[in-house]
Amino acid sequence: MPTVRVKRQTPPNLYQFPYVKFHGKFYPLIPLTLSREARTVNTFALLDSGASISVFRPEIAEALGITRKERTGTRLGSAGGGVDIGIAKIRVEVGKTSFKAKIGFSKAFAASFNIVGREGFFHKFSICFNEMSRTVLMVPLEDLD
Amino acid sequence: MDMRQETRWLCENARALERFSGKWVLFCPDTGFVNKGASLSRLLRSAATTQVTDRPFVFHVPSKRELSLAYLAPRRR
Repeated sequence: MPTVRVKRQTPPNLYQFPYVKFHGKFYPLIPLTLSREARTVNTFALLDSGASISVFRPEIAEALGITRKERTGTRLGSAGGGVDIGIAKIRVEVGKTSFKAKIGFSKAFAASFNIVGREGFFHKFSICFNEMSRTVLMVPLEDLD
Repeated sequence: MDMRQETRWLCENARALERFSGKWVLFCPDTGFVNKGASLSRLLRSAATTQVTDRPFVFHVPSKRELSLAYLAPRRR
């Protein structure tokens, strides 16, 4: 009799993050850990598929010991022109998934929340925004093979 | 499905955190410890000296004004 291979229905790491309500509006915030050498910061960031790169508040860079000199300058576009920001490559952990990503630091772009953009991040996960249930579902792509 | 403790804590306490708008908040979901301040580095230093936990979370609570600013998604030029 031939053996039937049953595919696992649920991936081992499926993260569910409910939207967080601030001042009457809901935001898809996810918990993550940033680390560089011996320093670690656990914080939250807004998951934004419309952002091409991730931008965090500059205080996080200071907490991680990243000096201005260690950040590579780049210019980001905005409606009012361009803004120069410093970018550094640092380790990011979401749940059990860990990887290095380029993160920019700017108060102008991360005025309300830290922002997680597509570059270096969205290709690590399958991400589903469910506006009805106000939930983000994330599955590490390495778990979907 | 993994619904993480820190996310649950933030959802449950977001309303209460609104009074710290514009400030940094340090919290430990497992102990319920919360501290707030204008300076993130000072908050982290005080957490290290009081040894509240080995895994505190920090979060900048946005003010209503910050949330009302026109949001511009960071895009490479």
